[in-house]
Amino acid sequence: MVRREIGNNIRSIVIVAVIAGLLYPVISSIMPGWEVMLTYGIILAIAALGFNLLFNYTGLLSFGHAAFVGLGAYAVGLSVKYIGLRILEVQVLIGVLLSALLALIVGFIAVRYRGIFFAILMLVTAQILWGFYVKFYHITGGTDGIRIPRPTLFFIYDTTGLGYHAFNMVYHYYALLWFTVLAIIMWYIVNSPFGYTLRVIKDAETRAVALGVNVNRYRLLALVISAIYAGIAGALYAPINRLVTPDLAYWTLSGKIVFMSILGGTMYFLGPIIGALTYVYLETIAQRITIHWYLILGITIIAIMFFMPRGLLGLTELEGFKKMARLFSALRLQFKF
Amino acid sequence: MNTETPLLEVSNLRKYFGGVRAVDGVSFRVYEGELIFLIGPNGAGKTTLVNLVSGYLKPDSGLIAFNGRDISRLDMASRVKLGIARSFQFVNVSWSISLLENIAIAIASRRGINLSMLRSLESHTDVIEEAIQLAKLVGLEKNLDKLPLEVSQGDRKILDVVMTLALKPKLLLLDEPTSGVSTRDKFDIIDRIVSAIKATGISSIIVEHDMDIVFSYANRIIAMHSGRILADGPPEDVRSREDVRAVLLGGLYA
Amino acid sequence: MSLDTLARYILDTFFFASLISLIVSGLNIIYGVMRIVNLAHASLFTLGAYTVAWITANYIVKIFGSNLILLLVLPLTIAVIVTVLVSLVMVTPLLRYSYGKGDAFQLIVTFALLIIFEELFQIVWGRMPLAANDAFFAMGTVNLFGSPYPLYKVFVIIVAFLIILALWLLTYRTYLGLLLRATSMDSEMVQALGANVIRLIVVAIITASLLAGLGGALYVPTASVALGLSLDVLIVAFVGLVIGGLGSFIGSLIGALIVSIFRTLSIYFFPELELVILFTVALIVLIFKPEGIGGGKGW
Ligand SMILES: Nc1ncnc2c1ncn2[C@@H]1O[C@H](COP(=O)(O)OP(=O)(O)OP(=O)(O)O)[C@@H](O)[C@H]1O
Ligand SMILES: [Mg+2]
Repeated sequence: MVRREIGNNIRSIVIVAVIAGLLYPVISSIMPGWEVMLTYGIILAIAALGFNLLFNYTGLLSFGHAAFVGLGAYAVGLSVKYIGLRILEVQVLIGVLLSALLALIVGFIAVRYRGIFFAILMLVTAQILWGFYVKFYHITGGTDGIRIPRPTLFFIYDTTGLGYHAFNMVYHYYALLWFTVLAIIMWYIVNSPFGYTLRVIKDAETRAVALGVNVNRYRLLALVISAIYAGIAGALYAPINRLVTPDLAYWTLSGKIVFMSILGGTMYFLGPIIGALTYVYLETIAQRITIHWYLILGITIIAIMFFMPRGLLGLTELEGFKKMARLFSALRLQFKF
Repeated sequence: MNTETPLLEVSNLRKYFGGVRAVDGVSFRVYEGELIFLIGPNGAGKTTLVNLVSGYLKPDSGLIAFNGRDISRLDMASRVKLGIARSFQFVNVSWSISLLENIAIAIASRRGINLSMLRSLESHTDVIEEAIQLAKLVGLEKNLDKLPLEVSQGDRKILDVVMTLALKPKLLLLDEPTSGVSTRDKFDIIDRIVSAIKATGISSIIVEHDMDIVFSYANRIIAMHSGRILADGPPEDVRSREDVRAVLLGGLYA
Repeated sequence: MSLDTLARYILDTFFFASLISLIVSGLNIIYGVMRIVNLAHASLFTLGAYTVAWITANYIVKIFGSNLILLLVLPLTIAVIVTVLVSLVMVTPLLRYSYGKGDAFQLIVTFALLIIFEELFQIVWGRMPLAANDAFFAMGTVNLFGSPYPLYKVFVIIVAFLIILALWLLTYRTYLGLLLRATSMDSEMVQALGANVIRLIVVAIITASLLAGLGGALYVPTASVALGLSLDVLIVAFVGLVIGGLGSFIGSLIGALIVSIFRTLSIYFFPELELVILFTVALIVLIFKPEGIGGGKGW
């Protein structure tokens, strides 16, 4: 699929980013209130990209990526609560270091296993951290969480004075910048010799060993990178959510990350991105219709696995879509755009 | 008798699986530039021997010396670095990437650039170029952009071998490079593989079931049965041995 | 530690091990015939627990008062029936159609099922914990080196022991058990023998569901049931499987016992660290005995 998959190039990433940028003012003018979902979407897309590096390219399924999201978010929360740190880039860096450290510790053993063992070890990791956030409430604020004041961006730009909408807008483009840079880096990782080595490990582990590859070291590295992405997503999530709660480390969030990725299509580089952006709107709409959103979530996951295993992007392989694509490129040639 | 240090010296190698004596006291030497065919009925222990020499399995006892150095405790990766490479009886490649990319990753691994992360594989033009050259050597250049599932079984078997060749080993272990291929195509495949081996001059051990092939290409044959070596020598000698004929040739080459 | 605390600790360990072995052996039966680790298996335990808690408080006590036999037998029977029926409708078809689809597929599908169950529990029984300890109190206590110990827990240990014994006889002494064990090693051969593998799979899932529902039903008189129980149970069972080795009947029982020793210890002394302790145990086993005690070599 690699060669022929849709949108596996940097241009497509930039196009998605530009659309996410242009759409923001449009949505906020025609459907006020719905634009902030876009910000959540691109932030979650970062976590899903990390998840998919592990799932699709390395063959490791994690049911515990919320561990890293939570760690990133609490890095922001605790650093502002206890040392008054508000420079977001520094907070992100703390989140990155903590996530990488946790991934190294757990991964040291977990990457020797696949399937259920890896999946559940990650799940338990996340549950332990969740338990910590809930039980050690004198430190973490328990289920009430930690309020996040407005951050300082780029070391100098204090956003405290901004109004509600102005801040959301500024933060959207700030997050979009992170997203774009991280997605491009991920594209290089996935298409680099390292990324291809991961695929060989996933499809033919003994072959990788026969090539002289230290399989567990590569898996560990993939896990660390994946954790860093989830950690950054968690850190970026905190200021826009204005609150950090243990929910960010709960197993249902891990489930959501899995869901986003398969919704978009894990076989595609763009899959988790499209999945995350679709997901936030799906969730918002579903929550307006029913309070039992998780029921729909679970059923949808099963439906996708059975009936649409390639996810939304898999639709691009249908004949009808291909015809439209051909028509589009014919038009493009004709009218030179 | 040859007096130089053998490239590979296996002595009294043993590997049991529970009660099954898969390899049971095997000894032989391989010298620079030799092309050896390893034969034997199903379950004779050929694959196990390949697994032991390549480091995929650890022996119960016995020595494996490579260039005079004992390697029997080394792991697979270190043996690859020393120059022992193996292919697989069942095609063992990445199904989600093209033939070219499979070969390129093997080359990248040899060059030690697998950890390179911030440049696409495609942009490593030297690696890609070498992969194409290597593919040409075995006549695989036509379908390089296809996925392994989109080419013939013969091409997949060749791919498996090319990925091994890409490591530029000193000793090549090929486990049934023609298995699963129609009899008609077997000769074509082994021809391409043997000419590539001869072009590079690598010492090789090839596991093969088809006796027509073995006797057309071999200048040395090792015959195994029940974990032991029955006969080891030039084709004429091996062919004339009663016991080998009984177990292996079924009177065909009587 | 005084003698009565020690005895109490040992009995508590066995009590917990009884519940965990009911779950773990169910997981193992399904894994044996289908090579699927059913994450939603823990939900069936919770379902059994909720059912007992609910009918005991709402119906049994109101209608029959505190008749001990009815308090014990009726809710238990109903819970097991409910669990098996729900499993037949929701779990069995999904597992059957996930058969042979690769472990990532199966893990995601059964994980989704776990999420669905969790939400259904909330819809049916709400967010508040439910409890029904009437049977627990009705049974009274025994004297354990001078301090009282609940007779109910002893009862559970005995019941679980008998059930596991029956299960062992079923797998090792009957033709059905032979077929089940054979399927775990070579399902094609079993098919060639003329046995219907799909039917065997359904039998295995029903048996496993029954055990899980029974486990939950036995559990609830001793503690309340709340959302999130499934996940706790899943994790403890998983650690048991890691210790015992996936696919080994005896191994899984030993795993259940060992995990219970550590869990009961942590509950006694460091309740905050329960999960951390279990996790550490799992990691240590994975480092030093990756294949588990049973070695995963068939049943
Ligand atoms: N991992 C293993 N565990 C248990 N037994 C094994 C294992 N690998 C091989 N054996 C047994 O060892 C013996 C030798 O097997 P091996 O695969 O080496 O034979 P072979 O000569 O390669 O046969 P074939 O021609 O069928 O490939 C056989 O009886 C086989 O069943
Ligand atoms: Mg073989």
